[in-house]
Amino acid sequence: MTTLLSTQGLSRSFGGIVAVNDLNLQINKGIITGLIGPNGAGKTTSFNCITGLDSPTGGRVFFNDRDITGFSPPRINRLGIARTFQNLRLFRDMTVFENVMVARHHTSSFSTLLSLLRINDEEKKIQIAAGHWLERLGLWTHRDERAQDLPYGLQKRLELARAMATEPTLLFLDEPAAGLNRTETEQLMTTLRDFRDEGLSIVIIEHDMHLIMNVCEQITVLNFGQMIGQGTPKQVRTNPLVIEAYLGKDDHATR
Amino acid sequence: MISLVLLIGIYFGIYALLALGQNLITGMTGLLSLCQAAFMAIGAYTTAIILTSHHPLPLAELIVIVVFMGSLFGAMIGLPTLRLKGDYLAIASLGFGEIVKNVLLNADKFTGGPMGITHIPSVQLGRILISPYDKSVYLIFVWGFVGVILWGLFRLQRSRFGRALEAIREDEVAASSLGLNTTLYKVVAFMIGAAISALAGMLWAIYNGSVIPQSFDFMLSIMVLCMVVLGGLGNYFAALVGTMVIVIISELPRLLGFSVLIPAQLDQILFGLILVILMIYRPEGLLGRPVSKRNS
Ligand SMILES: Nc1ncnc2c1ncn2[C@@H]1O[C@H](COP(=O)(O)OP(=O)(O)OP(=O)(O)O)[C@@H](O)[C@H]1O
Ligand SMILES: [Mg+2]
Repeated sequence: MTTLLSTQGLSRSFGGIVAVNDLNLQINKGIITGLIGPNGAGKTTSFNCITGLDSPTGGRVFFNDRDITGFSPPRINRLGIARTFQNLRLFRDMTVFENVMVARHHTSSFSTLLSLLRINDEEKKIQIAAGHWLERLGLWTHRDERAQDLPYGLQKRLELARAMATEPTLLFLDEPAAGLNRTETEQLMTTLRDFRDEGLSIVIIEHDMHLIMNVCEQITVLNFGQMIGQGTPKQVRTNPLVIEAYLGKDDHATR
Repeated sequence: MISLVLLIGIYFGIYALLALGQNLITGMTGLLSLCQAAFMAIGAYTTAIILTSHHPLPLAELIVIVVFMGSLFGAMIGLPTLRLKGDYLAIASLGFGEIVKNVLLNADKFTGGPMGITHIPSVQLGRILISPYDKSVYLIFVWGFVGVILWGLFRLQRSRFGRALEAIREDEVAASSLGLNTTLYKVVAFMIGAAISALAGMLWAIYNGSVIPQSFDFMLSIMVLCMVVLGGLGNYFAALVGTMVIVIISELPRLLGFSVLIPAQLDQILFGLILVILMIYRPEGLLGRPVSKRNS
């Protein structure tokens, strides 16, 4: 198995709080990796450091063997890394269609500026690509609705469509099933497996163990910013350190 | 009386340009900038300096130079501040406004100091003399600018560039992680807004035949912000309505000649009051954002 993305000694502290502590992640190509851990374990912070939204206080990030530490978010996106957010970050006042179309602007910022003069017909291509992802995720009939008017489950799906529209090779999902009902979660799991089968590599942060145990080939467990376990779902489920982190030892059972 | 109406129409047009520029920056892109007066001053002084030394100059050349100067200064403040997260632009633009005013006051050699520059000649558009003495011609001249710029801004709004600006306003973090070079878009939007204000300054300088630093006070920037917020952020038509209301409220007493009866500070109190009342009762402004959106 080839490594697609890795971190070496990745660290991020906020004043006294060490959110991510000397983390050596390894994300393999073509599979779904789960990133789990109790609340405040540093999962989101790791995502932020990898996708350029936050700057690590130490360590490096490698993507396809290239050092991408400190790259700006748009640059990282253009290299083929997309993400969704724990708290939805839609363009709330824009339509569903527009939300996804924005994700196609990256094809060229220069041509976007030229769009003022209407001397290129990139727009058509953008619409076709955006339409493709809307159809794929069952949002086509909602395309003219404002994003904020969609029911929550569809908003989550829109965020996924938007990330996919940037044509990533590696997709980071921060709690994609949070707030979804059983059926919606099952649908999401099917979609993610389809994406994986088409060659996409995915990393999922999730508290829904049913989803994690059923779609992930590889799981990494964090606690207090450090990796405390790694392996297949079966290995992780039986790892005593992991069980302790989740169920708590007697002396810090109620943290 | 007719002359008074024309006069108000001219002022309305010039302020409308300032408001349109502010709306692009604040309403469409979500950047809080407080220095429209400074950009206007740059346009006005550029015009004054050029026309008094290089007369006659074809109007087209003057426009190009004024737009260039406006966007140049826009880039100068925009580039360092818009790369940072947070509202650095608001603070930097406040400082910039003060610096511009102080430079105008003290660089006597070029700007004439507190006395400003007088005897700015009129310009020639083809065979028509654009003279402030013929108010109806000047009114058409000013509103020609408003019309063209309004048309351009509507086009911008419907373009992909406009869509990118809207996305940045809605959620800059999301936009940047979708691959948008948000800094580039913000700086360009800011430069366009600055250039529009510089054009307003050009029209102002030609109309008044003279420029003095005091005309481009911080209060003017606040007034422009007030116009846009009153009408409704993000809506060009609303910006015009907001401008009209404020121009009538603030210029009418002066134009009618009983401004001596009203203390000068009343404007400041009034604008503050309008902003506070709007925040509480109608944050979306009188008209709000347009509901119908681009459908291309
Ligand atoms: N901007 C910040 N400033 C200060 N502390 C922060 C900041 N962001 C995160 N933290 C702290 O870092 C730690 C890790 O937070 P993080 O959001 O990465 O956890 P998480 O694993 O994603 O948790 P959850 O499952 O609740 O989303 C927490 O203690 C959090 O309070
Ligand atoms: Mg989190």
